[in-house]
Amino acid sequence: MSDTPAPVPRQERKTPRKKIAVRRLGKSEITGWAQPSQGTSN
Amino acid sequence: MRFPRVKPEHVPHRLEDGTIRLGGVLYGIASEIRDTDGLAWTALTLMDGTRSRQEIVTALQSRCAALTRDDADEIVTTLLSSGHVEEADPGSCAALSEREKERYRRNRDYFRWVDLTPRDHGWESQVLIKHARVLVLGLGGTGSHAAWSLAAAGVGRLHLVDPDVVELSNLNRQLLYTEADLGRPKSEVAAQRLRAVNTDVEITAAACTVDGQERLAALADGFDVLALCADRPGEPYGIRTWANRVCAKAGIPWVSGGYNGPLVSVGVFGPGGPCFECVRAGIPPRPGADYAFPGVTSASAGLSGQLVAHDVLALITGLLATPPGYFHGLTLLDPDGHVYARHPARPDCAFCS
Repeated sequence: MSDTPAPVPRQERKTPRKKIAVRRLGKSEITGWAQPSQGTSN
Repeated sequence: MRFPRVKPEHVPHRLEDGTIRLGGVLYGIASEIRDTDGLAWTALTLMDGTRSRQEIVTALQSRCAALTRDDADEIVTTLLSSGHVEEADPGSCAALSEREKERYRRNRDYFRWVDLTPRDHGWESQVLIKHARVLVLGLGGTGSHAAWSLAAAGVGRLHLVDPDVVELSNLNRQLLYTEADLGRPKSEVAAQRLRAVNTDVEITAAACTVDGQERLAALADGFDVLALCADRPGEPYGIRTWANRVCAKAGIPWVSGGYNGPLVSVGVFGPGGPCFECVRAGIPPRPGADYAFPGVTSASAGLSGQLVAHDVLALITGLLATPPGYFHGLTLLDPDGHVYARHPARPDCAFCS
């Protein structure tokens, strides 16, 4: 893990940072497998 | 968390646009962070177990002058609560001996991997397993595998119940018995074998028939989970219906597993979800579904028992992927043969909690 960002002078900052968000990945995003449908039987 | 570090199984990597992926390629664990300014990546790099939380915040802020202390703290807080970070210096866990820690190290690694709740020392799941009391009803194709798996995992107390004796035709799939055991009560042999597998587990056994709800309620009293691996008497209004009503009344979660030739399925029920009878009521009638045939191999029997054990452990550790109230399983003849059923509680159900 490298490639840290270069320092940015404090005075250049004009807007608040957007908060980071950890988003859990859906099944199709990882494997392409189908997800069991809710409320049904197969 | 005193000295955070990214879990080894969750090592992050970057995509070309800077997006970070953590948690490997396992659905339910893997996640993604959009990281346009590279600060989340920097923070993860700093979480190598050598720095305290405050030292990470300070180091992160020092590498980006535009970052306020509050912003740096917010980034670190978000990552610490993500489930991808663990305590690098957990100290000791007094609830487990050094021998137990050596024995269950792979369990700990597994639960560390799949448990996304930040923990103090990583042994929390094993401690819950150690303190759990599980009733295993039925020690045939499904139950023998389930009981072995639960004993191996370190469940603290197991009570094994089966009325039958070992027969030669059992030996194609029931792994706790040998030719030398023919004619002996399954419960007695199973207890003997499992005590040899794990002397840390308190194992008792009874060769009795469960002939109604009253008997089942007496057996289940004092247990945390029921592993129902028996299928007699059959439904409707058989042993699964009895288990549903007894466990609903007592607030005990339960897992029911079995096989129908190559179809292996398990039901998971308990407080917080629709009961067995509601889920069953939602499944459309299937002509011929009531037929049962004896054909089975060790593979399908073993899978059903191991799925039961998995779901029992998930209930004990709180790591059930979804709330109770569903069947799931697989068809061995079809590589895409996952089966699943979940239906809502009936409004007038007297047994759903």
